[in-house]
Amino acid sequence: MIRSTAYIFSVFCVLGTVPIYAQTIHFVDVAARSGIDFINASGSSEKQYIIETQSAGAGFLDYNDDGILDLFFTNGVAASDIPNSTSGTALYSGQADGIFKNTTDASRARLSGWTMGMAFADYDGDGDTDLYATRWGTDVLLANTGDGTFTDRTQISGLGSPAWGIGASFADFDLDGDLDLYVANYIEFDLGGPPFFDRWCTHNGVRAACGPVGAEAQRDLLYRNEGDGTFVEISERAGLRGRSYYGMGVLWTDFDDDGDPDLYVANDGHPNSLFRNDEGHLTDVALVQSVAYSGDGRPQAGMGVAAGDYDRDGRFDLFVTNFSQDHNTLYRNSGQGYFLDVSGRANLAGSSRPHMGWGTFFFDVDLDGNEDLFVANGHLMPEIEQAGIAMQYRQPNLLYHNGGDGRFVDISQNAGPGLLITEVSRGAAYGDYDNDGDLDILVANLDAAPNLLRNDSQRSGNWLSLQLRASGPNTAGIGARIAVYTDQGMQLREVRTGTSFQAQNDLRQHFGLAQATQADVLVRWPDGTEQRYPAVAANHIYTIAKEQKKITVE
Amino acid sequence: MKYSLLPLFALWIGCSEQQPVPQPTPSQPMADLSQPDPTPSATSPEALFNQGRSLQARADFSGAEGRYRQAIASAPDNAQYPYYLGTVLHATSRYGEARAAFEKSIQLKNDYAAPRIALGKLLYDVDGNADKARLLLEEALSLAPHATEAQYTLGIIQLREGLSEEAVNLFSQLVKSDSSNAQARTQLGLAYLQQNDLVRAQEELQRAASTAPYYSPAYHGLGQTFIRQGKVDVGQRLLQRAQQLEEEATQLTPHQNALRQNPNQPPAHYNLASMYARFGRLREAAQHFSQAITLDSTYALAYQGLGNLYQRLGSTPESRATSAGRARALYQRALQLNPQLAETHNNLGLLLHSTGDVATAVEHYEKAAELEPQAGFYQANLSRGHFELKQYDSARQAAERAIQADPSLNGAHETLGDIYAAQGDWTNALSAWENIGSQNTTEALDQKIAQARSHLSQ
Repeated sequence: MIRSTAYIFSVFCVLGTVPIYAQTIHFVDVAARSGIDFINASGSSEKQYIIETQSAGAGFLDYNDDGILDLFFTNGVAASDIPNSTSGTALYSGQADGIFKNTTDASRARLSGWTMGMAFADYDGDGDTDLYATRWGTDVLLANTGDGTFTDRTQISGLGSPAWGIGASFADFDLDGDLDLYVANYIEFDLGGPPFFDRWCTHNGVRAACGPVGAEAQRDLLYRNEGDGTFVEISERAGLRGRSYYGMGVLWTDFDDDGDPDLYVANDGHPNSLFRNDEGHLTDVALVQSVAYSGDGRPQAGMGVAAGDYDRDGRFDLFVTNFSQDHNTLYRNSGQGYFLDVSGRANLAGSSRPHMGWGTFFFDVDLDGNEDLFVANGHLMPEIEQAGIAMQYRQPNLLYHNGGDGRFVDISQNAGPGLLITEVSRGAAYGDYDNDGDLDILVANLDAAPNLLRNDSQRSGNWLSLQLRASGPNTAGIGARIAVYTDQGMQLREVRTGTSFQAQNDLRQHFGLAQATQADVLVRWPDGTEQRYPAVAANHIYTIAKEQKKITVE
Repeated sequence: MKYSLLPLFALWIGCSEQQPVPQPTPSQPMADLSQPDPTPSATSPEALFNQGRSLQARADFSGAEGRYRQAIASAPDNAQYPYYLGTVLHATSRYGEARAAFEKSIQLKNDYAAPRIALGKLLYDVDGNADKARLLLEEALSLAPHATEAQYTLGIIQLREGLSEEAVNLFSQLVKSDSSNAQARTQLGLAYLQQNDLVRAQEELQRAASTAPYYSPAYHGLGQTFIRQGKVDVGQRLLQRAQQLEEEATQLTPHQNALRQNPNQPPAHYNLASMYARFGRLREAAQHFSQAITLDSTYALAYQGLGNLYQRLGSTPESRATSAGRARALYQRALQLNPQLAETHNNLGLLLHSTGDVATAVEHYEKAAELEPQAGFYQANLSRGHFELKQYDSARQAAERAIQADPSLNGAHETLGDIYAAQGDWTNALSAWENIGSQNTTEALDQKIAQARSHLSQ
């Protein structure tokens, strides 16, 4: 009798903990059936060199301005043991039927060599989306000519740092109207020279690529847009005079809500940096703001970054992915001049420790009005599986549901086959590629095909998608802050480029409205102009035109 | 003309080249001076186990593993042996084998806390499994409620998982039983900080920093606490201190690891002591210089290092004189053992110079310069000595050699100007002084330049 009661109780517990939303979230990988035949190749499969462990990025953009998202993939250089791999970067044009067409060569977007990250923005204010790619080697600026092709403007623009770039992000940091650029650089690395040539290091008792420890950090770079198609590097003048770190993910966000974009950089193995923007002068306040280290005072191995108002208090919080055997870190913005490491309290610490985190973003996966969280995972070392520990090289990605109470729940195991895939993932981005009102996920994988995870969840809420338009030079309103109000409160977004890890999200800002059928929208443009749009009907993609002060359905 | 005494060049400490630490080969474990090398001929499992412990303490993990395995073969039911085998395997990153060894130990003795703690730590640190680790550590604490390692590790896990109240309880118990446990006290402070109990956080973190003044996490937490209290300036200074300590710790770590692996090698102690001295941690530096001398009473560099420390000590004229006397004796001992130590000659010269024995100081500067002719600062000190003895030609030649070796030696330029001035050559004096550049000027130098210009304008 006692045993029987215990049995019933345990069944009840199990049933009682099955989250309702987990039954409705469903992601399916549709990359192959959508015409995406790209296969990443990053050196050899054994990964003796650190350069071979990272070159997989992916992003959503709309380069041909047809209202349907396109895809861009970065790539490494193939060694003979990666079969059928693609050579160079790839660009796929999205079609209305959900199929993607490879337009890499037609658009002249193929970049050879080791390409890492990306940032998409209309840097020259001519109304179309340009493309900046970071590389191990000279970074490249591909200007969109407006006829479906790109042209290399690296040299003429004054960009093209030869350093090993990882993260990149455009924003109008000096508020002069045009878009400036920050590039996070990694390490001095010579494939055939010291300190790592022909060497193996060990980690957890097995062979591992050496680095970054032991390598010189390369300085991050800030470029000011001169408004004539050229940039000037002003890192030191703008205040970036401190020690160089191993820069990875980067994003601009106005964390102190003073109207100008501040900068957050995840640094590998070093304290992260948070540069407060004071009228164009950047001061690293990461230590003061408690976002340099974990809450218990340790530097972590920062990889990807995300910013979002997960607790809906009107302030942007920060999230950083880190190395395995450590936790990913959620810093809640207290609004009192410092952040708090709430990773544990938010239920994000323990679940992330077995994984090595890279691309990441906040997004409202179930349209309930709370921003959920995605993390792309994958180890660095193929031999980690021989270390006798419960650590895999190919790892599943993580999807966390935001309960609205400050806590997240890992729903990866109950979110469809797309979340059960195990790959060596790096860059990750979200976007509504099929324009059906929910957000899909793009994941770049090392030495493998990418995943396009279509959101086939049972629809349980309404939504809004907002695209900003302005007459030049910042034609997409990069840096604008959008607040959406419903009976359930306020949601906040910011238009950002770059972010995550070697990735860029859909520039359209997407809001889950739960059961609300309309919402009030407040846009604060980068120049401080505020525009209100009351009672905007749910379930449409809108364009908000600044000068016309109009909101229209796409 | 009254000459101000120039600050003499740099007591040259802590910048010596690092000394190579002889590495043991796997087949020849490093000799332990205090104990005979254990041999496998001792066959009792207990003797083998004790040998294993001894080897493990000296970081000879391979040797220790062999002894533990032999002990297990002789006494397969003893739970202690696989536990210690597991610790060695963990230390050498053989995690799968370590896990199996800990599990075997638990299987042999179900109420044994130690392998549970070790397995819990392994699962948390290596597998990243917080839930299983927590369970094992809680079980261990139910078996051994005062197991400090279990309390600490569980406290860390609870803190990182956001369970700050549980963490406070665990760390409070730890500091109650050992008030000098700065790590636990720091974590207690951080747990209070997580609860936004800033008064308690400040109290605990200040006590931690005072117990362990070089432990950066305490300063880091304290800085955050002050900032949250609105005391931003104090907080920022503490955060900077934390960062500085972290940088120092990064540089110290390889030397600490080398010493752990070679505890009986004098160069390992010397290298670590030199790093401590560089960071102003004189007590630790003295301890390791002394230990190097204890291990090898003919190790001249260690006498020199200890001499350098004594030369920096003393807060009153009397105590400074006492320390200087000790430093002098140590330098002399070092030179007795190795007369070729240029740095020791230079530093002894500086010491004698400061006590007014300039003639003997010059002899030592000359010897230092002879041993290392390219070291400009030895020549500069020699120049100053000759100058004070009014041996102007020798002084000028030494100053010129110093400048040739290192044109940035401002003291050498100043001495050269002083030599010319003493001989009434104001044009060359002014030229030498002006070579120093305005960014490095001093009030005394400005006065000299003004005096020279005044002479030249008459």
